[in-house]
Amino acid sequence: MFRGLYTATSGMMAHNRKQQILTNNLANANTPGFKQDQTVLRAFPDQLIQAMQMDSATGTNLTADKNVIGTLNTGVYAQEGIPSFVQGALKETGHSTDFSLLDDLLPVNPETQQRGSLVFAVDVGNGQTRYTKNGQFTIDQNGFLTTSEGYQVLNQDLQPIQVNSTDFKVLDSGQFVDQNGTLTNNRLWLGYTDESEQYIKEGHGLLRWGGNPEAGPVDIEDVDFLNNASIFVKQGFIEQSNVDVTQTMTEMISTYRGFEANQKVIQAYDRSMEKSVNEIGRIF
Amino acid sequence: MNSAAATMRELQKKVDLIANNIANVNTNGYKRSEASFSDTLIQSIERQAQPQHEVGRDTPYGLRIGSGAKLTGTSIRTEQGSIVTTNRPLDFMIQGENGFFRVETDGNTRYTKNGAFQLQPILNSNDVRLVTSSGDSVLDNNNQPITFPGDYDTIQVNENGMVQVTYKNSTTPPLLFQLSLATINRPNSLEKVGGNLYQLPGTEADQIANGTLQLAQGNEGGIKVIQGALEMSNVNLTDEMTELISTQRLIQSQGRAISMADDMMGLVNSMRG
Repeated sequence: MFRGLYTATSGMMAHNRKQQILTNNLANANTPGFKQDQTVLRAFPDQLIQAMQMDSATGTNLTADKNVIGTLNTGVYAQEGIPSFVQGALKETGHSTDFSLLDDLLPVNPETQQRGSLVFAVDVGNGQTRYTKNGQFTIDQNGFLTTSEGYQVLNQDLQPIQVNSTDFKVLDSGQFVDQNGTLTNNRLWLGYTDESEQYIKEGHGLLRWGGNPEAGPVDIEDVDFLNNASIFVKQGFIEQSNVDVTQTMTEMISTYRGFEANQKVIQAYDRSMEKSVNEIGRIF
Repeated sequence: MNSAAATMRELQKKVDLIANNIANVNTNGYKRSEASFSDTLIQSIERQAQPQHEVGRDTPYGLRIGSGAKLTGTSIRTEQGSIVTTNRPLDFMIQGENGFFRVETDGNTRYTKNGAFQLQPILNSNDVRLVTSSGDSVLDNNNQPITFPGDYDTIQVNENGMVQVTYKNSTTPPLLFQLSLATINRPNSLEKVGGNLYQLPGTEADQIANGTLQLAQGNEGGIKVIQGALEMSNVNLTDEMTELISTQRLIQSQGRAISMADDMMGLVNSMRG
């Protein structure tokens, strides 16, 4: 009789998850290179509802007379958080160790008609490579370019980049120029992919490739249609978070109200049950 | 709720940092600090429906929820502050972002940009010693404090950091000292130790070996000593105030997120009754 009690519960749980994701977005509104997550809520699979008819004389089901009522969803859950890889606003800092990736200036992939996105590669130890969008780098004690967490940034051959001092330049192609103005053989490894949604966030600004291992991000050098492009990265700028605080707050309010509405539904069920238990069949 | 609270705490640290910068807007030779942020650990929820039932997903299996933001580090920004001419003979400034004076505090070598020096008389002698405004000895290129007889006439310093002390009495020959200057190529390794001093981790020999530190003689590596001028703080008050306002607003929105999470828990508790 009360099919909806757990449906409303699942609604509360799903809204709670969505609120957690929104809170995390809001928390990272000032984190450089952060990409906001968009929550996808998904209904439980449909159920087909049938009316059963009993033969009052024999007490058996008259299965021949199936009477289909319709379909019913019995709940909802937070299926996935899709990071939105829209470019964040650029902020000029003037520091030689700050970089921002310029996804918006990439040409459209002629095959898929989509514009992909770029990532930096960093070494997280044990020969493992991760990707990052946060170009706020620093120089460690041994003169290597690292992220603010201390992971080494990698060059075109996936080797760490030693720059020695903060006095260096990086061209728009990612090529390093030393303090005397001569080109070095270091270039930032810049990974391109069309399928940015396959990145898995690992925290600390790091991304791991979660899709088909063969289809991971490839260096811009190896992408044919990018050979004519020349602007990939800008030195002295950081890409700010793409979280819109106003929009996030609005969504949080509506999620809160959704949560509240589900709570009210549970209360209504509770009152119905109260009535059926205590009042139906009461003689006095 | 926890992620908002943790983020609020981290943002508060940024406000503290900005407050410190603003407090030192008039400190000679002060270098501002900047905070950098990163998102934090991701909690991954894998117990969803089987992957084959997850129709139409865009992202890899699982649901990943972050837990806020955190301060990953502060870095010292060494760009040159503005110059003020004082014409006081014991005021020096170093032109060049990476140049620092070397001073000695309690037997340790420290670095400073604050060149407002003074002469301190040495007990039971006529000699005076060149010290910083907090009384730490300024070192020469032999790692010794700079001391000379106090009845001097003029003190002159050239671009290379060569100090020439002359005397009225023409029989006393002028004394020469070379100020010890440090070029620090990786200013991110510097740590503030208070009193407008900086230190490098480990020993100086290690830092020279790995290329962070160079002991310069002046006029090397693009640094120059200028007498009669001081380098002001490189804090830009407008920038700091703007950062302060935006950080404060972000803290406020974390507060809203906390109260919303609290209300949601209240709703759960008031479900019955």
